Amino acid sequence: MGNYILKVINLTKIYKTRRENEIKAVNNVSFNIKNGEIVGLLGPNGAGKTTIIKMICRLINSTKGNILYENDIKQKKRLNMAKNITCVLEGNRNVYWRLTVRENLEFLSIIKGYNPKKLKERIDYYIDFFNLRDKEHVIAGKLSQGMKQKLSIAASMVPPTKIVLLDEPTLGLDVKASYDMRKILKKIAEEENRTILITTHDMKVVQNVCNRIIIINQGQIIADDKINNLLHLFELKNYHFSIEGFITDEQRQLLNDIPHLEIKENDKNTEISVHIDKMSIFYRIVRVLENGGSIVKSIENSEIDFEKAYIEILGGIV
Amino acid sequence: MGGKWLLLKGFIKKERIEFSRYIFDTIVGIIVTLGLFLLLFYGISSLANNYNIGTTKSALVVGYGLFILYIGAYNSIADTIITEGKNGTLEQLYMSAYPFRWILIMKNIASSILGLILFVFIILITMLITGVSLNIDFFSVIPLAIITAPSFLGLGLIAGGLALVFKKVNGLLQILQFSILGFISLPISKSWVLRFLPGTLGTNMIQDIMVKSKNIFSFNFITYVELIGIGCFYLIIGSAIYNICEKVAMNKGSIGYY
Repeated sequence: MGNYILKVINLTKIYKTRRENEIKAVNNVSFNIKNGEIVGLLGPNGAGKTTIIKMICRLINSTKGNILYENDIKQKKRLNMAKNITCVLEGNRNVYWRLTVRENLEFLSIIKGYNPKKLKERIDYYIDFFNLRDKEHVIAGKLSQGMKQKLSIAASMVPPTKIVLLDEPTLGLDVKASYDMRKILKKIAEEENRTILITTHDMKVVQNVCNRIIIINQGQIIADDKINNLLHLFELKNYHFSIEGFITDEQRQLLNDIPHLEIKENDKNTEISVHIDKMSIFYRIVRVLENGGSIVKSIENSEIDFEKAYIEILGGIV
Repeated sequence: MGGKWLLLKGFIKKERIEFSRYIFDTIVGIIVTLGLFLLLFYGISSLANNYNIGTTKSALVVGYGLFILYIGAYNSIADTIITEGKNGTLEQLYMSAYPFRWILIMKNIASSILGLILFVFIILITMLITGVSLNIDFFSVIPLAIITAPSFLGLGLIAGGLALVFKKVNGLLQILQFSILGFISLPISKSWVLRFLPGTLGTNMIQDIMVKSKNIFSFNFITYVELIGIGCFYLIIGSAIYNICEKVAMNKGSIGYY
């Protein structure tokens, strides 16, 4: 078990439809999360991310597989896990609109099994941490969307749980609120020694906050690595050729069948960007340019952001 | 037990806050409850103008009070699931450190405490308005009301379980509400079978205390065994059906999905 705080083993969820068809929402997914890791769970809509989160929280029964918390607490010990995992679910209010900010933090601590009187310092700390001090006695229903989301996350941070699950924390927020939320998440990542699993479509959250990424598609894991490794992998495979002048139609024809190759021309130069999975393709491009008499000014590894890497992983390049 | 006490205190505080924060809603609710009762009361009185219905009037006051008390207890469970589901907080309750059934029961107790206060208040006000005289022996009535409550808790768990699976169950909830009205008003003296309906025996005993001036010691030991047995039976049946429904909802992944 090592120092893993959460171990997901062969997790499978099959939904049976009325016509006796089966939908495999999650297919044999396994991963481990170390204490203190901040992991991004990514994937397109319907990939199975929220189903995994809900199975970890015991809101959905798995069809197969197991989820181990710490060393030996098995799936059946639901309540022990509940005391150590908090979760903010996407699309939900997660907080009581008729209660004030402070009342919400107190009541939701009780629900997690903690006496709010003993958590008074933590409650005050997180009210300041999330910049909610001036809204402390305002009922949640009157807060802006961004403030409500801050309150939801604050409520998940107040109980001293070891794992926090955040499902799409920036979804539905406007640009400013989304920016604020990313800052808050980055602060949490830097200052809190919590294990955090975030599902998101916001690549800025991924790049700024997460130190490891699990990409899931059609219920299966297709990549699981540190974010820097994934970016590095793409940097090594993405090349940018800068050519003086224009390439000929014949050269274009010869390069035409190379996948993921993009040719752009400006006033004086031609730029070729390509993602290659075999070095032979690299040499082929060089040969085509050389034989056609093109003058290559530079060949560089392309700068790549995580969004591009993510799309290419989903596209099946890696 | 400390944790459950904390949970109960938490729910009582939340109910109290919402009760006082939305005082207009609370007052309107009480006025509507009293208004409906007065319509019912004077309607029956005018229909039976030439008959001596003194006992019936008293029974009506007590029956209505009991209906308000138990409908609150019954509604609290299904209502918690439906309202919290719609509000998007049901999952937070499900991810609690306590079994969800405990959450429901504690919330139910918190609602019932307020319901009991409302029951006493409505009984006193209706007595004042209608001039009906009742035996106000709350020392006898309140313990009996508490022992009778598990039957309605059981019905609430059935309704809550069905709400968890089928989501839109308003029609069924209304049928059950009318059934509760029936269970409360049926006289057990008509048939021995009626005493085994949920809450019927207990509410008949309360009627006897308040209308016929009996007290808690007027009933024999066997009757109390029956009363407790009936309450346990419906609570166990309710819990079993709720468990099945919860498992179905968790397999379907539909908890909180409204």
